[in-house]
Formats: sequence, C-alpha cells, structure tokens
Amino acid sequence: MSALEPVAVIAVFAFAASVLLVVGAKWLGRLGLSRPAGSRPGEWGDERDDLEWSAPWEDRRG
Amino acid sequence: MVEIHPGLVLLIGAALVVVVGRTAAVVVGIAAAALAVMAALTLDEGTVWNYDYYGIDLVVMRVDALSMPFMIVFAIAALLAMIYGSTTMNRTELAAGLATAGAGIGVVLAGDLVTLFIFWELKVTTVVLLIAARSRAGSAAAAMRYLKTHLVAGVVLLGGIIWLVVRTGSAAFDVVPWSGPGWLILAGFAFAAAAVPLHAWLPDAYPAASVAGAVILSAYTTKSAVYALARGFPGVDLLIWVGVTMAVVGVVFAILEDDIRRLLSYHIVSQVGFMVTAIGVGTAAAVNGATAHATAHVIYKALLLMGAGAVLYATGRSRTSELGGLARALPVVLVLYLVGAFSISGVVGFSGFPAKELAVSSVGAGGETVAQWLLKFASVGTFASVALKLPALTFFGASRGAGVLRRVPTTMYAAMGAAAIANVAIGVRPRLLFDLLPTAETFSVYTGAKVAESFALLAATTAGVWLLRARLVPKATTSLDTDALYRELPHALGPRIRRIATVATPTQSTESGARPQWWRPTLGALAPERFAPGPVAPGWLLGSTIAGAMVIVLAAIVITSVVVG
Repeated sequence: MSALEPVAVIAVFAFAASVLLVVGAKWLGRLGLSRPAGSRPGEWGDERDDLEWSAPWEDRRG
Repeated sequence: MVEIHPGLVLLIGAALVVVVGRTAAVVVGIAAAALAVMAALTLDEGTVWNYDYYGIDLVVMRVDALSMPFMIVFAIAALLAMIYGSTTMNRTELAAGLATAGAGIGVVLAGDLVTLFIFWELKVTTVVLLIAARSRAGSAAAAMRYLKTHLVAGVVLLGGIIWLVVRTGSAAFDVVPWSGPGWLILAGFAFAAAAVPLHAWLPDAYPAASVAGAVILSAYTTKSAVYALARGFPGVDLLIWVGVTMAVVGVVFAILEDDIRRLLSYHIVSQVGFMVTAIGVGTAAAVNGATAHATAHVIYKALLLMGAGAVLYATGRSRTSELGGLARALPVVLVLYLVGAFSISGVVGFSGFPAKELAVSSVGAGGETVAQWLLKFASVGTFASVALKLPALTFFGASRGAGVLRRVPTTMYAAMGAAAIANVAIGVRPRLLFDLLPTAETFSVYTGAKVAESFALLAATTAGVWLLRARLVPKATTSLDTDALYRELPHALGPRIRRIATVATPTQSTESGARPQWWRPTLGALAPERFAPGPVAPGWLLGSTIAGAMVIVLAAIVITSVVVG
C-alpha cells in the first residue's frame, strides 16, 4: 500500500459524504423536517428584539 | 496551601451579584470567575472534602485525574463568559450564569451521588433562570419546556440513585453497577447529554438564551453529563451506538438549520456524540479521548457561540436567510469565529485536531471500525456546516437584509480573542491538553499520515459543498425535531387537548389573536422585576408534571426490576 492510498480513500470518502449529507438533509427537509420559521408552538421566530432589554412582555416586533 | 472549592466561589459570587448594583455585579462576576480559575489551578490531585450527613459520607469535593480537566476548563469557561457578557448581561443573567458554572463544577467534583444530584438539580434550576433572563416571551416558553423535561429526567435520575443506595448501601460515585438502578441513572445522564432521541431540548433551549447565556449553557449542561458518563459508565457498549447516532443526527440537522445558533446547538449534540462513543469504547485511551474532546469542545464551542452571539448582538438577527455580507463590517468577528470553526472541524493547528484525532483514533483502536468511520462521516458534516455553510452565508455574498446596527463591545472581542488564543495554543502544543488527561497519554498527533488525512478530508469536503452550493441557499425555516411529541402532537389531537396544550406550550397566536401569557405568573415568582403577575396561575402544570414524572419513575423501577433484575 502506498503512502498516498489512505489519503485518497479519505478524500473520496469525504467527497461522497459531503454530497450525501447535503442532498440527504435537503431531501429530509422537503419530506417535512423543515417548517417555516416561527410556525411551531412556543416559537415566535424573530430574534431581532435582542436589541432591546425592556418591557419583555410586549410585542416588539413592530 | 488553602484549598478552595471553585464551584462554591462561583456560587458565593452569584449570591453577591443579587444584592449589589449592576456595575458592581459585573466586577463581582469577573472577580469570582478569576478566583475560581486560580482555585482550580491550585488544587492538587487527591484533594477530598468529606462531610458526614446523618451517617451518610458525602464527598463534596474529589479532585482526581478525571475531574481535574473538567474542573479547570469549567472555571476558565466561566471567566470567558463573564468577560464576554459583562456589557450585555443583566443581574439575573450574571447571577444565574455564575450559579450555573458553580453547579457544573460542583457536579464534576462530587464524590458521591447525593452531592452530585444536589448540584445537578441546582444547575437545572439556574439554567432555567438563565434562559428566561433574556426576557422574551419565546425564551420564557423555552425555559419552561427545559424545566419540565429536565424535571422528568431528574426524577428518573433520583429514582436510580435512591434505588442504588438502598441496594448497595453506598452513595459513592464511581463505576455504576450495570443493573436496574444503573439503567435509570444512565437514562438521567444520557438525557442531559442530549442523547438522540432525547436531544431536542438542547437546540430548543440554547438559542432561546441571550448571547452570553448561550455561551454559558454550551459549557456546562452537556459536558457535566459527559463527565458523569465517563465516571459511571465507561465501556458500556450501548453508548457507542448512542454516541454515533448523536454525531450523525446532529450534523444532518445542522445542515438543515437556518438559525446560526440552532445550527451550532445541533453541533453540540454531534460533538458530544463523539465523546459518548469514546466513553462507550471505554479503554483508557478512549476515556482520554473523550476527556480531551470535551475539554477542547468547551473552549471552541464557546468561541463559536460568542462569534454567533456577536453577529446577533450587532445585527439583531440570527438567521442566515436574513444575514450575509458581514465580512467587511465585522472582520474581526469573522476571523475569531473561523478559529472556532477550524477547531471544531479538526483543522491542523487548531485545538480540535489533537482532541478529535485522539477520540476517533481510540474508537478505531478499540475495535469499533464502523463507528470510527461514522464519526469521520460526522466530521465531514461538521466542517461543511460550521466552517463552510455558516460563514459563507453569514459573512460573504450579498446581504439578505440585516446590517450592523451597533458596535460589538470590546469585552466581547476580548473574550473571543482569549478563547481563540487558547484554541490555537492547544492546536500547536497538544501537550497542554494531553498533560491534563486522566491517564498518561503518548498519542502522537502530528504525524505525516494524520496531517495528510486531515487535509484530504477537509479539501474533499470543500469540493463537495462547492459543487452543491446552490442547494445551501438559505430559507427561513426551522426543523421539526423529536420535541414535536410535546409541542406539536397535543395540538394535532383536537380542540379539547389543544386547549390544555395551549397552556403547556403557547402558540404564536390564540383564536382571539392575542398571545397567551401563561408564563408570566410562574416566572414572576422567580424574577418579579422582569415578569409581571398575570391572572392565570399554572401551578397545576408543574404539579402535574411532577406527578407524571413520579409515575414514570415508578413504572421504570418496576419494569427494570422485572426485565433487568
């Protein structure tokens, strides 16, 4: 076994794994794993009110 | 030399923070954390504090080869977090943050299960306050979900501890016998470690905290559980596959995620999976690998969340679908974030390289070749999402709407800079890390083969992601996870149950269009200055949760008694 062989194996593996992960994750998302932001119970979706610190119970999303 | 418990220093600091003004609270917070670092660095291995409690020998502090690295890195993380949050944290956060750090150190120094449980539950309580202290309705809801789920897990853990103490007559915390109570204790630890499918609390809770609160959460919650698993369950085969599942599932969700702090939260699930796998292998080298990875992870994950927090602080946004093009406005944040990203990805010269190499190699050396390759698969996903996707969509390309609205404070840069230096120092000199490990470690990480393989993995991953970059265009989405069982299912079961669930997990809008505000009275009791009292007292909700947890633990005891014996 040449010294480069394990490196080539890991390169092919990593390339295939990255393609599989991106394509697979997106496929799972289309199957229903991804939802529109802010649509889940107990989730308001918008993080912008970190800009303020007062009146926490008021809707500051404008 | 005077022996000081670093966790108690932080807890005393937390108590002081409550009674002084905000400026003084910041000074107290940083001073307490600095003192805790000094205390941790001066404690000698073998230090033990015993306390006789009505005939039960409690070991409040046990400094040994396994607890030492966790104690030191926990103290350092507290100091980094206090500096990072000194400009933004309110007093509630400062107190809860210090107490969380103190409780986390208390867990890793506990020499018996009773002391461990006390600090464990103290940590749960302070984390709830830490999340809620962000003072947003969404944070309050997430804090209550965290409380309820961890209450159930805590009761399971307590059931196991009581059962074990009654059965063996000893509360000592060492390797837990693999029997009925062992199952319950393992379940309690695994829940806190965010083991799949019990992991959904983590990406729910961490992004709900403030920018500094998330940094504190990342250091203590899962890593305390990793320590507990390493202490109590090394070599339990089940953990190998639990860990591998965590590693892979975490990166799949991370690739899907739009919110940068949720993305990083899923990576905590994934990285803890590496540690759990190594603990499952259980050899001395593997426990060293898990410890090294946990130690490095505290530092580089803190840096990543500090970077993401700086973006959120400056822009008010945390979704890649709203960010983009920030490199010119936040160049130092980008550079420091990338140090963390390269560390978590195991790039040569950064802290994750020696830590991850040791952990993954030890899994292979333990005969678990399939698990080793699955961890490499997860490593590909880590680099793809943390070092390629997130910075590309946040800092490069055209802006998708968000711009820098305010300057990132110097204190944030200072903390990020210190964490970055630590990551590079460990990467360049792995001995700094290896000399802390439980057993003498002679692992040689800078060999030609390991360096070449690391570069090959990263280069090929870059090529693959570049090829599919069009598929990574951000969309304003969130992921459906296993928390759907308690967040979505009740809403799908009809109006009668939905009315109850609306109280349990508030929806974005009620039928009348107004937001439910059930959380106000509960949190009002905890932090009255922030949450005004409301008309509905949900005490029955916590009561029913506790009752439900008791039913679960009784059922678990009966089932494991019959099945496991």
